[in-house]
Amino acid sequence: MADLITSDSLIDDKALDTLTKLLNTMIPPSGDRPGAGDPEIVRDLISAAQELEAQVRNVLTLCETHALADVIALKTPDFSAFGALVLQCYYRDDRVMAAIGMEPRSPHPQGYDLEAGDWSLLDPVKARKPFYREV
Amino acid sequence: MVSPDPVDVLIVGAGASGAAVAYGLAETRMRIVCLEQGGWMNPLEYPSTGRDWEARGDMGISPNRRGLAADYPVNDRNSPISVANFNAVGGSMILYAGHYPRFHPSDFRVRTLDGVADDWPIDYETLAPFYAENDRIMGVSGLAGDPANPPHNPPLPPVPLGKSGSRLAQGFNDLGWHWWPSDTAIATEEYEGRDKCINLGACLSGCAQGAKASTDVTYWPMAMRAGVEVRTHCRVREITVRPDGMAGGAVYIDGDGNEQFQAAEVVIMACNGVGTPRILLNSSSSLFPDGLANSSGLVGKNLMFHPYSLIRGIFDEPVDGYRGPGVCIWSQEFYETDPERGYVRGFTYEINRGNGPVMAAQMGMSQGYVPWGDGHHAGFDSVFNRMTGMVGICEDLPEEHNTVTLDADLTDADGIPAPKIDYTLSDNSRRMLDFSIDRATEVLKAAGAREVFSYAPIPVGGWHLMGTARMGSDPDRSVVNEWGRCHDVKNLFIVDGSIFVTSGGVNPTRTIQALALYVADAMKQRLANLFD
Repeated sequence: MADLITSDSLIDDKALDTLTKLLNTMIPPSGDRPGAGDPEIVRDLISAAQELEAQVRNVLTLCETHALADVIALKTPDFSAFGALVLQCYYRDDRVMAAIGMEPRSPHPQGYDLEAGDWSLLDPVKARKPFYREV
Repeated sequence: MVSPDPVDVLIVGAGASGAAVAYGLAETRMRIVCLEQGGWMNPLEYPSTGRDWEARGDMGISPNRRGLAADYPVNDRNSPISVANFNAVGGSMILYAGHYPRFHPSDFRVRTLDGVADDWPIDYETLAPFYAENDRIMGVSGLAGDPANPPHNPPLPPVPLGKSGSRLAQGFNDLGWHWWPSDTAIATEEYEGRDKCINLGACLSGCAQGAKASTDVTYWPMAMRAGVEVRTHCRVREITVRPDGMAGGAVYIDGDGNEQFQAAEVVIMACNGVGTPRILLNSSSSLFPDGLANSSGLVGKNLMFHPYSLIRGIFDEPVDGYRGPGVCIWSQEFYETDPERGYVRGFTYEINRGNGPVMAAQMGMSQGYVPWGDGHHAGFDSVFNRMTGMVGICEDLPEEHNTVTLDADLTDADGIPAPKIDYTLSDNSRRMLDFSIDRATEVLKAAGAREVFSYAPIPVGGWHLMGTARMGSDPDRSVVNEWGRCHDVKNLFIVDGSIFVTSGGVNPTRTIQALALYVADAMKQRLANLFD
């Protein structure tokens, strides 16, 4: 199973199948959003899992003896770490970002627009007398 | 160990205060060297330049989880709040939000006004000119006229209200409660060679734009042009003492792992409320068997965090979400003591805008709004760009049982004992946290939130580290005098958050830097008789 994490090319077919099913159970495909078991997202996840090898291995081992829904429901510490990794990889996928209304890019260097807001809201506060405590 | 020529001033720590005191002293033309255990950051490597900007553990706030070469471990298992910091030129400012309030005048007179803790030996008026000087150098954005604060004029216009600020401002207005655009250390216009904020939304993992003022992009370039030397990857183990009881310099481990010694005529500690007592306690000698400058026994005691409450509302209409800066407006409606609230002192609400998709999903999951499985997408859509709120920054009172000591077993990579934190949340803080949650819930509901969730304290929120080498005029009840010089060692100064007598209910960095400029000025005024 360690090979699954450290080298994409050495993924065992059975493990890949289990991982894909688990990911699609966690975040299923819907409309224009791929499931988390989409091959591109799985590849990203495997690449990003270097520091969580033990946790991912433990989660997949659990899948051998439990239904996938039960693996999720058990909420083990290993699954929590795995789940955080899944979210990180899922929500940086180009298709997912586009589907949730984000441009598929890093924040820098373009940044984002932010509206000025309604500054007239400050008028009643401006009318208030100073109220910090005198000493 | 080699012994280079002695320098006039040796500063330990290149963060918020070390940079300010270096700049303040640079005009004296003394030879000034600063030792920093971290290195220079490259903003183009900050997370917001990559697609993994929400996943970069190397830029997290916990030194224990981060575990970089520049970090040292902290045993904070006996504390409900864990230490957050960053070790580099610029210090923890690399990761701070840039929320940048001043203390209030009442914060310096806590004993007189409320009968608790102690008064400071200085007052707001003493620091006011140094606040102003620091504001100019850092490039503070804000709006004059806040009725909750003494008059001051930030040099740059405030950050945008955005959807989040406008929505919460309406909530505060409906309740008749104070709010004001936050003073921030974020350039809203080009300023002194720094670019303006472009709303990256990633202030807490370093500002790739350079708009957020950390000392690596503000004070240090000026101080270095004036001749100050910054020596990076140099971890100080101890301050040595000469036979006459004066500080002799610092033993440090350089970047190659070699032990070095730097002699100095004056030593200035600038490692903040955990790092400074750690080094002083590790500098025991026959003259100072309980740690350097510790005849009062107060080095490492009276540790103050700011216990934080976190309150978030979920709205049907979009708010700012991942678009930053994260800071926005503040409220100090409940800053000053009101005995009817069931606690003394007060807090500031720092209003935050929102989160990126990963953090939104994680927060939504932690509160039960976002499940795994078939409901995931609908749950995510219900919180993403729909969640905003605030944190309550609660004043923490000094208590001697809240301590930084040296861990008996844990060490850093160089074998230097790690700091151990023992901290208990006081009943006063607990009541204040609860009050802050209740009032914030009212604000969010008035602003239209359909759901509100909260928790306190934020367990990873030990950003503010204060009080462990407190200032005072009585050598039995304080570590440094009213201008930052150690009572016990007359060429040893401290300029960081450890000299705070009380914590105020605001982020401390602006006051730390004003204090550092003030101490530098006090030293310059006394150069002829600095050690008398």
